[in-house]
Amino acid sequence: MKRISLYILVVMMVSAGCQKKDSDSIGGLTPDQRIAKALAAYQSKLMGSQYGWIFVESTTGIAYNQGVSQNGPAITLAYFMQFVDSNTVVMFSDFDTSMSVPKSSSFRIKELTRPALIFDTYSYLHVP
Amino acid sequence: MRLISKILPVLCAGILSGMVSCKKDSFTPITTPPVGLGGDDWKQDSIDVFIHDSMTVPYNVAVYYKWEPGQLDFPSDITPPDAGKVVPVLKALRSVAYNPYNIMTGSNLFLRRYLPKALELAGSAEYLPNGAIFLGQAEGGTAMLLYQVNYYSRLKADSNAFKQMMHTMHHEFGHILNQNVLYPVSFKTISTGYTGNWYNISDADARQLGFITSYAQAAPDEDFVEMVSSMLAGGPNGPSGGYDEYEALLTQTGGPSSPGYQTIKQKEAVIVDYFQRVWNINFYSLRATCRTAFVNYLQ
Repeated sequence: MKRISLYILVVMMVSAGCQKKDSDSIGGLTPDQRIAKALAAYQSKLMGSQYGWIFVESTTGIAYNQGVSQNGPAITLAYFMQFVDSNTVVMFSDFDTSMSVPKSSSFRIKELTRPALIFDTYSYLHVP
Repeated sequence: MRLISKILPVLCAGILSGMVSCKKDSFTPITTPPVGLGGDDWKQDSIDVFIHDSMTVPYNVAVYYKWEPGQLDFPSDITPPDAGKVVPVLKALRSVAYNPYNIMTGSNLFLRRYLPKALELAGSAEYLPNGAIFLGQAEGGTAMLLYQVNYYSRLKADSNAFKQMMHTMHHEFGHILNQNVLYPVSFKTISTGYTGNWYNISDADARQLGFITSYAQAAPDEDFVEMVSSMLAGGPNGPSGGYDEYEALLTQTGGPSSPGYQTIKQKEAVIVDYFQRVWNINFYSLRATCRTAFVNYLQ
């Protein structure tokens, strides 16, 4: 009996004595480094386009405000956007003729749950 | 007892094996903050410089104008402010809403102490399902929310929108003052008939009942600050159909002998007394200063 407990002790010590690897690194990069890298990649991709970007938005026809739905037209809108520097975007939209005038507003690429593109001051995007 | 004698060696063994277990990676502290935890960073432009120089330094107020949904009401459709409107709105606030207090108290120390430390701007109003809208909020006491920044204009023709904005600011600042030092409790008993359905009552009808606006009928706190803001900045839906001066609003009560008029006058007396006693501010002079600042500011 005594011998058995000794064996159990030895087995436990051996199995517990391993080297534990507890690392979130992938490819040698920590999560923070990977997030920073992803943000920089999105930023340079947005700004890197010579002719800007065209965003296409399709509305579902239902809008919610404070949980109350309202019906509207289900339409598809296009926005032309030129990301001129790290925080500024110039855009126009085909929503109506007044939006053919390029309007400058600000944007940010920020890590929320995932990297997110935020249009954080008023732009044509906020109209429909 | 027998049970313990069996368990004890196993426990000891467990603790022992825990002790010998592995070498742990050495901890290296990071030198830069994790992404997103070092505070927001964007390229500082003239707006940020203006906010720093004319709001943060003199009044110790941070102004948030970039979209931050957590600061507003999540399930509502609200638009962010137009970057081009931010500085004009702040300049107007400074001249018309803040400066009269500076003149009355002699320095910016009063506002520096009592203004909420954060001012949040939103482009549109917050629309409620019952048809009412939020023009401003100051419930927490630490932050003041100002909606409808995108509708700002200082033209005489748009004076209604301008007065509405100043009305909102005086309303919210009134909340801050009464949250710091409560008005006399007797104020709450001047009127009865406070109701959550205030939005079903027109402003004109509310005046007949002794409330300066229909929103004043929502609660005694709102009544108090609506009185303050209506006296300082005028009130909505007056005889002209838009924002009118306090005296003009009083004509809708039914005349000096009507109960509505007398109730409002009773409230006015409490407020004047409150400002004099608690804040050492002559309310009528403050009102004249506000009025002058306002008239001078419109173009």
